[in-house]
Amino acid sequence: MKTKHTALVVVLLSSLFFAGCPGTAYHKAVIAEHDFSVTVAAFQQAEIVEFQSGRIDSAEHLKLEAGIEKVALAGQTLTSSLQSGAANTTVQQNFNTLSAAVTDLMNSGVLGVKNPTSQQLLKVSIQTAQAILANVSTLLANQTTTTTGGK
Amino acid sequence: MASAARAIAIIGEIAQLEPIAFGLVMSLVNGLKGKSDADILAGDAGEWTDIIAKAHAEASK
Repeated sequence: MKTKHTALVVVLLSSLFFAGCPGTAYHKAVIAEHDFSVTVAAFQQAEIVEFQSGRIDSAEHLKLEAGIEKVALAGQTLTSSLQSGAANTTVQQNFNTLSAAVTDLMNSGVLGVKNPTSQQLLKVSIQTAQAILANVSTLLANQTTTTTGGK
Repeated sequence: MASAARAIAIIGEIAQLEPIAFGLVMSLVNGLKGKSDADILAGDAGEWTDIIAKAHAEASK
């Protein structure tokens, strides 16, 4: 449960740091997207280490990497939308698609991992990613995001 | 000001109690210093491409 505690602290601390950030909704969406990409990269790295250590078998590894690819493709679409200054509704839809891909990765990948320690480790990463998406979803629902020129 | 001081005190306490989590958050914060939104997004676009390439490579092993 120590790892779960650590993930929670990471999310709470990130919120403390970035809540004080004087940026626009657009800037906060960019920061959330960035935090999310860092979390997914860390998840993939952890998954590969678990596989190489023999704690995750080949079938589990393939499912997890396929799920990671779907999440990354959705992340890429979101990044492009933010770069092109897409409308708030489009950005919200992208975040929703991303959220669905993460849920799928959890349900069809992580929950199928037989080793309990590996499963717990990967679960905490996914929960961190879900918490970031939940925060940004609330932010976008409550504000009109002007998606250009935020610094 | 009082709430800012309180927030700093809380962050200080967490830094002592959870050094690993604190280190991770600080690396996130420091990674963004001095970068514009466009810089961050450009970096992330490359990050997503790397993740996809790695997922492909792992799936073909």
